[in-house]
Amino acid sequence: MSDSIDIELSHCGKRYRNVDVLNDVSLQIKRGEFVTVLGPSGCGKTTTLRIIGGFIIPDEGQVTIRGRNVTHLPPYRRNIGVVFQNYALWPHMTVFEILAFGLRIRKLAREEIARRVDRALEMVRLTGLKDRYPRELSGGQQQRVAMARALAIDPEVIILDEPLSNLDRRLREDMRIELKRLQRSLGVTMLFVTHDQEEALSMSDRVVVMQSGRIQQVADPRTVYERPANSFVAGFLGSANFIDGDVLAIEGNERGRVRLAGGSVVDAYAPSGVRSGDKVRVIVRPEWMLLRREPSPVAANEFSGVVREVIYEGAAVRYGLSPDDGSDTLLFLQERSNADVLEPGDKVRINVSNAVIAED
Amino acid sequence: MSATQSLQRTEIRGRGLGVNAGELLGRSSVFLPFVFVVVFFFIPMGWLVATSLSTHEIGSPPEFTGTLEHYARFWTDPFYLETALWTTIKLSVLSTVFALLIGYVLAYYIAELPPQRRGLITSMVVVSLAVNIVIRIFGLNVLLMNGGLVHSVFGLIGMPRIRIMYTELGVLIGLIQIAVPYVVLPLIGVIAAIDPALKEAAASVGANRYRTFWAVTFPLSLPGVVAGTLIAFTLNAAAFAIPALMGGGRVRMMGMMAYEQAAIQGNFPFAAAIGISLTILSLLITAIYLFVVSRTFRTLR
Ligand SMILES: Nc1ncnc2c1ncn2[C@@H]1O[C@H](COP(=O)(O)OP(=O)(O)OP(=O)(O)O)[C@@H](O)[C@H]1O
Ligand SMILES: [Mg+2]
Repeated sequence: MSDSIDIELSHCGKRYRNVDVLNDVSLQIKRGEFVTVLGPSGCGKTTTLRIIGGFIIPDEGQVTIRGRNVTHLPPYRRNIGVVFQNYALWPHMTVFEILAFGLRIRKLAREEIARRVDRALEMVRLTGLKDRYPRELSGGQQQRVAMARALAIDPEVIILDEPLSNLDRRLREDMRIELKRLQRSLGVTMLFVTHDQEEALSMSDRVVVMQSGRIQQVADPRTVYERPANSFVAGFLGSANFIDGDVLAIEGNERGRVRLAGGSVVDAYAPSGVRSGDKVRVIVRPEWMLLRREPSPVAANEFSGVVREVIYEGAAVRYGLSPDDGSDTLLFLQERSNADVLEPGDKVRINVSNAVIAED
Repeated sequence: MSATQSLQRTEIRGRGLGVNAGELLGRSSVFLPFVFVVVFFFIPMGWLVATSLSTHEIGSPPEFTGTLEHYARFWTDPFYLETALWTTIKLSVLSTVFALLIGYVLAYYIAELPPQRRGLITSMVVVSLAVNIVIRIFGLNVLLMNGGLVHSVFGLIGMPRIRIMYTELGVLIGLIQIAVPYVVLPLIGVIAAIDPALKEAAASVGANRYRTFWAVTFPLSLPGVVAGTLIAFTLNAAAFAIPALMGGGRVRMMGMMAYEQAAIQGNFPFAAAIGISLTILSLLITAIYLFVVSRTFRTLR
């Protein structure tokens, strides 16, 4: 049961005036999963969500909700809860009327409606405001009402388009936790659109990374961050150094040895498909390196360089490093523990503790 | 710091002019419109009220005596009540209702168009307003007169050739035609400004197009409905050109009757009494209308 697929997109495409906005998008979301769609502005996140909601009919492909082909079904016959970015609360209705509207359409008895409205409000921890109009609520409260409206109809899945982006930072972080708690306790399937990578990484069971209408990677947060499929994913989630190199050897267990442009050799994660002799890009995140002061013997996965820039950020220090072999400046991030803060001009050994060969 | 600076500046200005310059400007910005309203509205209105309370003597100017005889004449004579008063109420209310029905459908259609085409069609509506009312009425004449287009088409499809021109129906059609653009214009703006997400939200909880319209679009368009119908109603209640040109002297509305009394009979006090009665009547109907609407729908509160 828990393995049943709630939402399935297969080979969905959408064009506007011959411009591909969505290209061969396929995705399966399991019951009870929390999946985020992450990507830069204009990459097609909202389009994907609206195709699931039924507000856009795809030019090709098929949408299946709980095994039912809904591709050409209008939104009002899909039973999908939708939370809109600007909440879209009807300004002429009270909170009670807003939540009851969908239940009245379902022709439920008056007491049943009252009961379900109360329950939905309890879920979002918003009781006692039933007679307020949306304009009489704070942004956070409006957000909860929008959430409760989607929950009240007891939907098969809930889709949310950047529901937290209109809240201030503190509230946004609180709401993240609360939304996640709610989703987990109800076991409801949620598809959540965001362009905030922190949101995506901290909340999701799986993250869908999109770029220009195509899915780039679908995986759990750790995998998309630590094993990015390509340089776009690596660069979009957090920061990354990209270093050109040649694959010297592939050793079993998806490990490979790569000679970087400057001549140093490092170990790196090699996705299947990478062959010895390939010209590749190696992804090294700023926190995947260690610095040691010279002089010290050169160890494996190490090369020397000079500190060029130091940016003190409190919890961490960010450095710009120039490798001695003349290759491009690298970004390095050091958590502030007991380590010294280095000075520009300091000579260091750069130890690459983790690296990933990009698939592109 | 900037607060103290500006404080100092006002003080200096205040000493120099004897009055605070900003205050003077503030006062005059209320004062000028006030003067305008008094000169161009209250004085003529007062004069009209005074005239309506004056005695009428053929050959001599009205003399103010405070008499209510003209009002008594209008409000007690069944001739005036049945022909003028009732015709006026009936035609202005009916024409407003029909103009709203036609205008709403039009405005809804126009508001859903893509923005560029919406602009084009909206400007066509505005242009239709710019055409002189007499010219518009002649246009209607061509359509509606005996032997005109509508008449011929009715004949062709075998319907009885009913007479339209110079009947109440003709006047009603004329009033509707004049009123529709006034209903359409405010409505286009109001309907187009409704956030599409509000309709999508209704669809997401299961409302079909019909349900969405009555639960979301219509209530949110009420300010436009009220604005448009109020303009249409006040215009048509005071209609003069249409009953005069399309009623052929048979359809008597109060505006026209006041004109006849003043220009043909020379009875200015009675004409003024009809005019004031018409104004009070319009205000009364408007007040009832607004009361009922705001009781029924909360959107306007
Ligand atoms: N109705 C439309 N007509 C033409 N182009 C459209 C239309 N709707 C969306 N697009 C285009 O499709 C692309 C994807 O749009 P979409 O709204 O899905 O982006 P998004 O990923 O949600 O971006 P954002 O983060 O800014 O919300 C954009 O380039 C947009 O310009
Ligand atoms: Mg979007």
